[in-house]
Amino acid sequence: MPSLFATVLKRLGWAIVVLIGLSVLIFSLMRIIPGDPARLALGPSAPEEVVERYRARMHYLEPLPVQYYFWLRDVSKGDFGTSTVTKRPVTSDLAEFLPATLELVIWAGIPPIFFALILGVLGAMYRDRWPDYLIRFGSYIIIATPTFVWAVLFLLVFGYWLPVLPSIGGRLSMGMEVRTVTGLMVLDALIAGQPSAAWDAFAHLLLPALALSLGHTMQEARLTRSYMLENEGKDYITMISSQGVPRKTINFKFLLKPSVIPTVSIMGLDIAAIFGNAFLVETIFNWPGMSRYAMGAILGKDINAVCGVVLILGVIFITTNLLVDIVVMILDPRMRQSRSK
Amino acid sequence: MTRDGENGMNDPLLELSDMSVSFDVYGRKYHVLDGISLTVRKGERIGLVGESGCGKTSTLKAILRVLPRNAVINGGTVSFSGKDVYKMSGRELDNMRRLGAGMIFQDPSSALNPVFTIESQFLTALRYSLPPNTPKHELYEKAARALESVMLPDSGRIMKSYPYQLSGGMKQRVCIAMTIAAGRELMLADEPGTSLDVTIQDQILRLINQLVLDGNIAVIMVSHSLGVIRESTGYVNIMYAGTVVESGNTEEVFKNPAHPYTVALMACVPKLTGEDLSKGIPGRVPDYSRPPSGCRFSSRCKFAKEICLGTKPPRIEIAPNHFVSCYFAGEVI
Amino acid sequence: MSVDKKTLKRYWLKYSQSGITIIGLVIVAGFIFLALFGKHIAPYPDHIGSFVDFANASKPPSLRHVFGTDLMGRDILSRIIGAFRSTLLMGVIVLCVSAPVGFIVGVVAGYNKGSLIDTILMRITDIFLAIPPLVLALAIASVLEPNMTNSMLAITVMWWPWYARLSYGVASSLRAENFIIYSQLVGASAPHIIFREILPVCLSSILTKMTLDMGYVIIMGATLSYAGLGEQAPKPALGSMISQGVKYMPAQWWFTVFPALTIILIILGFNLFGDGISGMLGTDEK
Repeated sequence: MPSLFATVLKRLGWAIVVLIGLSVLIFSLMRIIPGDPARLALGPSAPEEVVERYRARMHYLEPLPVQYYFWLRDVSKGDFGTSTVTKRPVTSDLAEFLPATLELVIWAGIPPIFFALILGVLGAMYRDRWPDYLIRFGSYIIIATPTFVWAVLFLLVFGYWLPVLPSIGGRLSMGMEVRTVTGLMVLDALIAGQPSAAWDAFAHLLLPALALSLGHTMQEARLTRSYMLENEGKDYITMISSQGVPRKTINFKFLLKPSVIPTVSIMGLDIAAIFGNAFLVETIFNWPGMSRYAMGAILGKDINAVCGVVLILGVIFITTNLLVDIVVMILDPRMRQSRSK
Repeated sequence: MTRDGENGMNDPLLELSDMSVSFDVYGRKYHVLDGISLTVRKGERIGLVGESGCGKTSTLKAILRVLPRNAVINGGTVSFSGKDVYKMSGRELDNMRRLGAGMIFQDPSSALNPVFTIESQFLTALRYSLPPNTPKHELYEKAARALESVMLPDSGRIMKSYPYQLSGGMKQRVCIAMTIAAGRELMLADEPGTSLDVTIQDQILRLINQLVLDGNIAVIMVSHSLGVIRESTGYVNIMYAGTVVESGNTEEVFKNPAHPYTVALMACVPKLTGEDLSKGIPGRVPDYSRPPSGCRFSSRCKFAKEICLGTKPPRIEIAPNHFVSCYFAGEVI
Repeated sequence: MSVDKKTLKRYWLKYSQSGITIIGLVIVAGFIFLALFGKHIAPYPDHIGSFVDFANASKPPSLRHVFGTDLMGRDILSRIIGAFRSTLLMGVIVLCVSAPVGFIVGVVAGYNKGSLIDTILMRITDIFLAIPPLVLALAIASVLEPNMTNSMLAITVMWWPWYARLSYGVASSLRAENFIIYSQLVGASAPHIIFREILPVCLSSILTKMTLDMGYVIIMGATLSYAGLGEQAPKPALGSMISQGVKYMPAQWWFTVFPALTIILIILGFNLFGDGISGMLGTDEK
């Protein structure tokens, strides 16, 4: 597929342009903040000459474009400066906290797609009968419930009334240890050959991941159902059924594939929303991830940390969308042709 | 080709009698087909003519029982080879669709699934039409031969293609190949080629005519073009707003049109001599949600009398095999 | 505008196709009514502000206080009703600002498709879309003073790109249509074409998106308020009521459960209402 490759390359080019734009946006955001950035970084008790030296070292006295140049130069070397909250380089903070968030988001974002597809197909197949009504009614309620309400609800149910799952406190039970390879705890435990640790890590993941994924899953299920029903009236379905192909083959082959493509193509946005919601869920479940770190940084006005987090999220988001685009191009041959959506 | 068939051996292959269908849209009923009757015998070529939206496509879909979900059958029967299509078991219905009748859709671009290759669609459909456990290479050969018979010689490339990689004419040919590959007895051709270039449309029509003659396939040719019908059918049904207003041997109907609508329709065709520019038919098609209780053409008919508004006109045989649904059939010209 | 009875009935039939959307209309109507007049209807109007009655603090639900009382002895039902106005305001203001802004950006880019303006405007839009929405809102809300206005501003900043995308799609497909080309031929100005020719075509999908988005904006507002970045005490907000209540679970469950159920009900109402509207305007956006 040479055109697939060319399209991907082109998207990659745009991704870089967007990233540069994003860095400008973040840089402007940093400079919009009222107050002296050097004073803000060092705290009110720092002596004036230290602040003065810091100001010169950070090029705060030069014009904004020059400041941006130096900032970008540092950032591209992976240097986001020092966090005023943890007093450590932002980069090493991110390296420590990012894997936990990634693991949570991956679990909340990817496996539920399959449930969503199954529910969507069931809803369409049993249209206007009780399984469909049940799924639709459930999805209305579930979609209407904000993620943080799910998190709080799970905390109440599993933390106090039905303590079968760990609901508070990190990624592993006390006393367990897994050698870090990928940073993804369940995977690392499996690599290390510790199935019980893997299970324990999974149990810790389950509630926060569920809280994050419920709304999106039902949204995707609804989308799949409605595209199934819409496509059911298309000529190509009438045509293939007029040829005497059994209903089951039509539903699971000729109807399902065109109907899931729109669902898959919004996956990138869903993942982004999950990243956003992870901010609260990590705080509520005490999950040692980047979002909780960023939440602390946001509330503590730790500008360097906020910039690092937002830029990293931007990179992740752009990469995810690129991957989603590739999957969509594989599923839908028409997409390989047209450059822009 | 005469109506009775030379040897009288021809039992009807397909018979619609008094078929009535309505569509439910937002709680309103649209009576789209109102008492359609027509008969097709083995190898016969019949035409179905009418303006856009008069129910031609719905008639074809009703035959194959593939009407949209919101369609309601209000009465009448469709029988294929003597069996009531709407009382068939799932197996019988499948058999009818696999070997009995096949439909060619008006717009070839929407009739092929955009995200599957031609091969995948063609072979899946063919697998169910041929005996079970037919090896895949046999299916493939059969499909390739069908593609060649519709003048698509590069079958290998076509099979690997996705619909968007083919031209409209090629897609239409693929659809035709899918319909004839398994050896169906009846082809329902819904305005073939109208969405394509005129020259390509012409080629497609010629191709269909050739195929049905060669294969002794019966065909219902739907068209709003009188020229096409005159050229390629032996018997014609004129439809207006969900009713068949006139039917008869094509030559006879064209020579002696008897229904005011048929007369007006023929007047609309510009003559090559250019002497008479078309006048059009004044008025509009009736509201399908509240159709008149009498003749559906009455609101536009310049001969309409009291009686036309009140009760539906009966079907009268004004000449052998020439039927007209009008109180004043034959008197108006 | 004169709408005859038949057209109205037709709209109603289309709106109420799936029946369940009527419930949405009832919830939305009730919510708006309470948001407007709640201050007079609430059982204890003065409990909406900074009221203290320690004798009645943390009382479970009873006949006097249907949803119980909070730590300060304030009636939770009254405070929930008191929070409606800012909740509604949040949705209305965010959407009424971001929809026109997004429309202008999208239409100008789409109408000039392929030009430099198009590239610049749509890349800017892409940049805003490249940050997870809540993250952007949190970042903006955090560098500014935490209050209601700034949280609205933060949500607006992340919301307009969606309307830009929507209008861009419509405008770029319309520019090749004959009626637009004719307008250009007879010398219509760009503003005329944008507002008189393109806007009417976009309007139903924009309106549909606005009603469907209402629930999401309210979720987003509640989320910011949960994070402490919305309406500040002593003014009531549903999100902050929940975040403060969590610390007292499970003993004082009513601190948390009733505001949470209220949020779910409001969003459910708007989602159902949005579905009905999209069915009515024939712009079934999935």
